[in-house]
Amino acid sequence: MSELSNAQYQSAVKKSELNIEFGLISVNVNSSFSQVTKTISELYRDYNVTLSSDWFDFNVSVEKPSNFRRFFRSQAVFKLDGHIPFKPLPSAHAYPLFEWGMNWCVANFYHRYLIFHAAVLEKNGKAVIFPAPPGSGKSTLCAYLALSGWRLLSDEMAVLDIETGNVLPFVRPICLKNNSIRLVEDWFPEAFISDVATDTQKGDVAHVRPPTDSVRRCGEGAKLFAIVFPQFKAGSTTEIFSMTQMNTLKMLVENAFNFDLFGHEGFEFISRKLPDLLLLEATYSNVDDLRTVLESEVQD
Amino acid sequence: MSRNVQSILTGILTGHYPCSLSTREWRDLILVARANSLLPRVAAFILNDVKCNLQVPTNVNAHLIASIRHETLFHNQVKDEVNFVNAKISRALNRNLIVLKGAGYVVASSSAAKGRIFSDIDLLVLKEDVSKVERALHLFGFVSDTDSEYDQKYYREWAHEIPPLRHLQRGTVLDVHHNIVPLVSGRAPDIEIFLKSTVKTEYGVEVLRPAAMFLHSAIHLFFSEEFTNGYRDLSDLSLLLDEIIDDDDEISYLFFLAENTGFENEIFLALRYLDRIFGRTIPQDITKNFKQVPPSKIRLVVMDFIFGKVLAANHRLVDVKFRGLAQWLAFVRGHLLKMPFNILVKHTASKLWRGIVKSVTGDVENRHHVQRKDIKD
Repeated sequence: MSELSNAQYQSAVKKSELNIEFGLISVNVNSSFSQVTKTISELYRDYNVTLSSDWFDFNVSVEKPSNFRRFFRSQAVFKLDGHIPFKPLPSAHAYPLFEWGMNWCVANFYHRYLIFHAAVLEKNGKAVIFPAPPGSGKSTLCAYLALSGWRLLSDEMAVLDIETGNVLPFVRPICLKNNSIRLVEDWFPEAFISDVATDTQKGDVAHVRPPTDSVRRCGEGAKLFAIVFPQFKAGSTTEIFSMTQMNTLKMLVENAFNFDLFGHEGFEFISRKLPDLLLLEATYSNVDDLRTVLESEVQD
Repeated sequence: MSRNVQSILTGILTGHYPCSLSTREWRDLILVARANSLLPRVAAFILNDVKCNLQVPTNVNAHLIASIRHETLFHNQVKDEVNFVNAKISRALNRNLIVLKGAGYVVASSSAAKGRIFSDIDLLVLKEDVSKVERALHLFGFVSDTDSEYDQKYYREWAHEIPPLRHLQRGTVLDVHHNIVPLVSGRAPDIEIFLKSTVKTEYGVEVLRPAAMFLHSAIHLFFSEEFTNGYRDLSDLSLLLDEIIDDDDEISYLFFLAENTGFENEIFLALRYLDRIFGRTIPQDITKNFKQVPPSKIRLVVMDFIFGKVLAANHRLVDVKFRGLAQWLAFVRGHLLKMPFNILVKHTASKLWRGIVKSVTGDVENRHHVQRKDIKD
C-alpha cells in the first residue's frame, strides 16, 4: 500500500479497484468518508494491495446513508456488495464500523475454516490462542505481545484449518478500547494508533497498526501450541492454572463463531487436538509478568 | 469475452454447466448467487452433481463449502424444529400438521430443498384448530413478534395466517396458516381440496403432494407484491417441475387442482416464465391441459414487462432496464390481488406513515456487529 501515491490510492478506492490482500482472503474496499480512507491508508500501510484484480472474497464499503440522516446527526452504513446487513452508526464511528463489518463478513460467511473469537500470537513457531469474552483484557494483551516481538496472527479470530491442524493468520489492526488506548500509547510511544472514536457501543475505540513483520508473514500458518484464557484482574498477582480438556472445550465453544456448522468434524478435530496442547488459565494485572511466563512456556 | 452472469447462473441451476469459468466469472457468480439467496443451491449443484465437471478454484471452493455447511446445519435445525413443534401441538389438532414451502421441501426431501435457506417455518392447520395451536405454541415459548394493534387486526381479519410467532430462545419463526391466500383477496379457495392433496413424511407431518407443492409455490410467487427473491422462487419452481414433469398423474392432478381452486392463471404464468427466464421448454403434453382462455395479447405484453424484469436475478451486475418501474407495477398488482381497493388505501397509508417515521429518525437501536445470522431469507 505504501508504494501507491496518495493520488493513485484515492483514485483506486474511489473506483472500487483497491483490494487489500490478507492472505486468508482478499477484500475490495471503498468509502465515501475521507476519515475512513485516510485511516485505512495509515493502518494498512504495510499490506499488499492489488488494483482492479479479477478476484475478491468480499467487497465492502462504508458510506453515507441515502435518507434524511445525510443532513443531520449524520450516520454511516456498512455495505457488503451494496447490501446493508446491519443498522447505521453515527458517522463518527465510521472507521470502527468498517473493521467490525469486515469481521462480520468473515464470521458470517467464511466457514471454510473453524473460527473462534480469540487473539492468536506466535513465538518460536509456537502459536498461542487467547479465547476470551470482551472485558478480559484480550486486546490489550494482544497489543502488548505483538509490540514486544511476538508475531501477530489475529486480534479477533483464531482461524483453524482442520485439515492441516494449523492456525492461519488473519492479521488486522488491533482494536483497543477505553483505558487500554492510553496504556498502549504509554508503553509503546513508537506504535501507530488511529484516531479515537468516542462513545461507540464498546466505549472509546482506536486501532493499532499491526507490526510490519506480522503483515509480511500473513500467508504463513503456525503450529498450534497452547490455549490460554486470560483474565485481567486489577491488583492481582500473576497466577497460572492448568485447564482440563473438558473446561477448555466448553470455553472454546462459548467463544466459537461457527463450531456448530462443523458438526462432528469440528468436535472430533478439537478432541483430537486438545491432548497435544498446553491448556492454561491466567489471572494477571501486570501484563509484562504474564509475557515473561508465556515466553518461558514457548522457549525452544 | 464475458458471458452474462445470469445465463451462467441459470445454466448451473438447471444442470447445464459451462465447460469452464474465468476468475471474474466465478467472482460474479458468487456475488449474484449470494445476493439472490442461491449460493447454497449453486454450491450443491456444482459440488454434488456428478454431471458437473467444472474445475473449482480453491478460493471459490471456500465460499461454496461454507454455504453448504450453512445449509446442512440449517436443514438439520429445521427438521428438529418441525419435530419439536409437531410433538407439542399434534394433540391439539383435528388433522395431521401440514408443513408448507421451504420447510415443506426440506421434510419432503424434495429437489427444491437443495440449497434452500428461508426465514420462517410455514404451517397449515384447520381454521378451527388455529386458536388451540396458538395457545399450545405460546405455552412452549413461541410468542407474537408484533404488538402493533394495526398488525394484529390486519392478520386476524384479512389474512390467511396469524401473526408470526417467534421462539423466545431459539428465535425460530412460525407462520401458522389456515389458508394459502389472504381471505380478503376473495381468491381464497376451499382449503379442503388442498388438505386432501397431501402426503405423509418420515417426520410424522404431512406436506403437499408434488403437484400441489408446485401449484402452491406458483400461487405464492404470483400473489407476491415484493420480488427480492423472485429469481430464487422461480428456481424453486424449476426444481418442483422436475418432480412432476415425467409423472402423468401429477401433471393431470396439477391441472385438476388449479381448475378447481381458480389458480390456472398462476400455473400459466409459472410455466411461461420458467420457459422465458429459466429456459425450461414446456412440452405440448402439459400445456394442452389448459382449459382457460389464454390471456389477451395486451395483457401478456404487460405481464411480460413486469415479470420478465422482476423475476430476473436481482443484482447490479444483471442489467435490467426499467426494473424499478416493473417492481413498482408488481407491487401495486400484488396488493390489488390481495385486497380490495378501499382496504388497500388504509393499509398503504399505515405502512407509508411507519416508513416515513423510520426514514426520518433512522434506526440506531439493535446494533449487531459480530453476530452470525443463521436464518436468512
